[in-house]
Amino acid sequence: MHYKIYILVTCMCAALTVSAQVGVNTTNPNTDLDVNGFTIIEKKLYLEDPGESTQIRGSQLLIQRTDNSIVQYNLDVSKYGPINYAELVLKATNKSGVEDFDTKIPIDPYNVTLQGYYFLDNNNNGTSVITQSTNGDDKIEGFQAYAYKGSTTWHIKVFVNNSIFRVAGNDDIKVDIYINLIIFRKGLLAKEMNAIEVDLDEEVKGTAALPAGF
Amino acid sequence: MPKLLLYITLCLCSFVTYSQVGIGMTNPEADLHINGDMLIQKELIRSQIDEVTATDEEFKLLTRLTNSTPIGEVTYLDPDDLTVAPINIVNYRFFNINSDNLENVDLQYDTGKYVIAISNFQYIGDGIDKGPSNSIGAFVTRVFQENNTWHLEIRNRFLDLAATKSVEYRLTLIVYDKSYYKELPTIRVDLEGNNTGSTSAPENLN
Repeated sequence: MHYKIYILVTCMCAALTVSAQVGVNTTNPNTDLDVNGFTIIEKKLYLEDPGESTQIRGSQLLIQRTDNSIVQYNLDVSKYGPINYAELVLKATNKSGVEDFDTKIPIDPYNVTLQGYYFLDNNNNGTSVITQSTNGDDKIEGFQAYAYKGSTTWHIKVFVNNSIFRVAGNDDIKVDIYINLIIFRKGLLAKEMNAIEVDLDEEVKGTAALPAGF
Repeated sequence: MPKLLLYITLCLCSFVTYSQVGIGMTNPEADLHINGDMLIQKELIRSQIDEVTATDEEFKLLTRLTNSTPIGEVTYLDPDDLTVAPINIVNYRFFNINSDNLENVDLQYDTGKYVIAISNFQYIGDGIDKGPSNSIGAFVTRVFQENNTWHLEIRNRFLDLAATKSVEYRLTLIVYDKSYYKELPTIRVDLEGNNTGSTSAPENLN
C-alpha cells in the first residue's frame, strides 16, 4: 500500500515538472521557468516569439562580451558607441586653413568621417569670413574638408584650394573651424569597404561599380 | 506515515526549488546549465542584467534571426563576416571628368535597401572662373534617387572650368542598410519668404 502511494507521489511530482511553473533557486517562480541566478547555454539560444519593441526610447541593445556573457549596452558607461559624434573645434587656425591635424583616434578600431563644418572669425566670432583665391578674384575655388589615415591615427584637413580665409578690409585673420565628426566603431555596425575608382572618360554621366556583395 | 510526509516534502522541494540544475550534464557550473540548445517559446526576461563596463572592448551586438530553423536563433552580429554591413564606408575617386561636371553618376545602390550620406568631400584641382556680373554659379554636391538607385551629382551647375583646366572629386559614402536605419518621410515646409520657421517633429521622434 505504502509502496503504491510512493509511486503515486513520485508521479505527481514528476508531472509537476512538466506542467507547472518551475523555479531554480526560487520557491515562487514568476514565469514558466524562473532561474534565480546564472544560466549557461552551451550552444544555441532560440527566442521563438519574444515580442517586439515598438519604441526607440526605454530600451537598450544587448551585447556579447569577449567572455561570452550577455549584458546590456549602456552607452553612458561604455567606452564607445557603435556610432559616435564629436564636435571638433579648431581655434585660431592659420588663414590658409588646417593642413594637418592629428585627432589621435586610432585607425584600426575606428572610421572617422567629416560630415560638415563651418568657420567664424577668431577675433570676434563674426560670420563675415570669406575665402579669397590667391589666383585672382575671378576664381571660384573648391574646398577640401576630410578625415584621412595617417600612419596609425586619423588626421583632418580643412582648407579651400589656393585660398585664404579673410574678412573685408583684413586679409590677416585667424579663424575658428567647427567640424562635425562622425566616428564609427568597426566591428559593431560599420565596415570599411574597398575604395572605388570611377573613370568618367570625359562624360558628364557614368556608372560607378558597386562594392562586392551589394 | 511521517516517512511518507517526509518523502512528499523532499519530492516537492527537489522539484520546485532546485539548487543547481544541469541539463544534459551532471556537473552544472551555474544555477541552470544547459549542455545544448535552449528554445524559449515566449519572452525572455532578464531582471538583473549586468551592464557593459567602462573597460570592455571587442564586444558584439546581438541579433535575432527570423530565418533560422527553429525561428529566433540569437546570434551576434559581425560586420566583418557580412558582405553588406549595417553601415558601409566606401571611399570614391572620380576622375577624367568633363570640365567640372559630374552631372549624374549611377552609384547603383538600391534605394529600397539603402540610405546614402556624403562625407569627406574633396575638390582637387583648378578653380572655376566667375561668370557674368561676378556670378559664382551654384556648386552642388548631392545624392538623389532615380530609377530605384542612388545617383550622385557634383558640379557647378551654371559655370564651367576653362578649357585647359581639370578637377577630380573624392569623397566617402556612408551606405546605411535600411534594416538598421529608418528612412522617414520627407519634411517639407513652406517658409513663405521668411528666414525663420518651425515644424512639428516627425512622428515618433518627438
